[in-house]
Amino acid sequence: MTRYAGAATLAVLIQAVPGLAQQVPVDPPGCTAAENALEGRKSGPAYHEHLQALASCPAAGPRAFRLQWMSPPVEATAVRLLADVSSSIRDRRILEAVRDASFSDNNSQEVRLAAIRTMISYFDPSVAVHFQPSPDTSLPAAAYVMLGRWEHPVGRDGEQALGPSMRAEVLGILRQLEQGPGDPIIAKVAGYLARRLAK
Amino acid sequence: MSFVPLQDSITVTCTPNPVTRGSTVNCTGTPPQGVSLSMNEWRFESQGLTTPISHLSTATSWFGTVAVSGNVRANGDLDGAPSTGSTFLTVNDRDWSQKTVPHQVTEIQPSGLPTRPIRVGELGNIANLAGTLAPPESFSIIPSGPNKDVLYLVEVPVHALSQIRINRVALSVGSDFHNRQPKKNAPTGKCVQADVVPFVPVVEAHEGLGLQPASHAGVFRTQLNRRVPQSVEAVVAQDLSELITRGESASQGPIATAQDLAGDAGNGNGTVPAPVYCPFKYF
Repeated sequence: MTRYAGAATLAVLIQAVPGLAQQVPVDPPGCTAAENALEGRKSGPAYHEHLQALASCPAAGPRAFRLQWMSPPVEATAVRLLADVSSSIRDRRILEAVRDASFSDNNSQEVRLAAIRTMISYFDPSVAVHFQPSPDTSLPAAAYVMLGRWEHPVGRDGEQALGPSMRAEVLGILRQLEQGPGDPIIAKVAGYLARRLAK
Repeated sequence: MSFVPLQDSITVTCTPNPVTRGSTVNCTGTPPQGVSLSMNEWRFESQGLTTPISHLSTATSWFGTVAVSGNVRANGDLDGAPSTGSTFLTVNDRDWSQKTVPHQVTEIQPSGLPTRPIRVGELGNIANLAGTLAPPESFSIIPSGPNKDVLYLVEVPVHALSQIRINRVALSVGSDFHNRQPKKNAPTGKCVQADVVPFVPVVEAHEGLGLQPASHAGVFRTQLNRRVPQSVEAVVAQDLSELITRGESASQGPIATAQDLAGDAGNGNGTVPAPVYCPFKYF
């Protein structure tokens, strides 16, 4: 068999065998244990440790993070860390969970802003955002937002990877949040980010 | 129908003119010799302001701090006949080349970085952020005179933040990442377990935890200080929202340039050298 024929046979094989053409990410050891250990916890060093461990888990991570966003933590470090680790796995289940968390009036402003921050990281992993909410809600959004750029951004595909249409989806969510009733800072920040990201 | 045209014969003089932003001027209205002047209004109009400033007054002088160039007009009666006069007041920029952007460097802990890194960026990274927060100490409101109620900047309204994350979990003895490296006898030039912990100070210096001049945070600060203060120096407004919006507009370009220049040399910016180190084995 010539080298060319060998390569052609390999190409046929790759297309024929599911899983060879597109690699499905698999969890490394320890993910299920971290997922189980996370249950019932919402703060503290162990919670932080399990969240960070799950940032390397494309299957268990999105499952666990989705549940966390459905009933988010209260403590500031835990909220920030949940957004950070969620940003490190680009997965549909997490996107849907942060979308719901950002819309929910039951969530604190801090949680909703953290959910928005995660969505921004999906839109463009190199975009960094930091919120500086103020009790004065009359100011323009620029007063509450610091925008920037990540050097060496993180991010890997989850089991349910996000397609290119996700960018339009994130912009759509931000525009909906801008129109939403309730917290004026959420509405202003969402509208501002939608305009800046659309440029 | 008939109307009486305004006589443009009140002489308006502002001293000093030109004036540096933030200084005081005194504008006076004087009639021609032998004519009586009865003032009724002072006005200030500027392309830099949304609304003209009007001061109903019989005083022949109008003084106060100024922040924006514009036309100073005096309206009154000369020997009982309506008259007016004006002069253009020029406000020059201050030298803000030595002003600095408030910039904070913080390490985010816990880092949130994956414990099983798949690339070098997951061992440490940085977000260089900036925004026009315009805290109260950054602006002043002029209480009286031609620029009454105008807000102008007395400090740089842009604040910056470098958030550094270092994967101290992975870069520790006994971590999954540590154990993934060969104990010894690695192929030529490749890292071994003993190289893991010494990589922490390399990451710290590259990101700029100590604001090293050639680090991401260090270059960001230098470039912000070089570009932002003068670009916002002339920003004025008639309310805080407008000040923030205008400040943001003036600073957006310089901030973006500073962020570009603080990028990795690999991105073509050439300012932050990549750390020279042996390659690790990732997951």
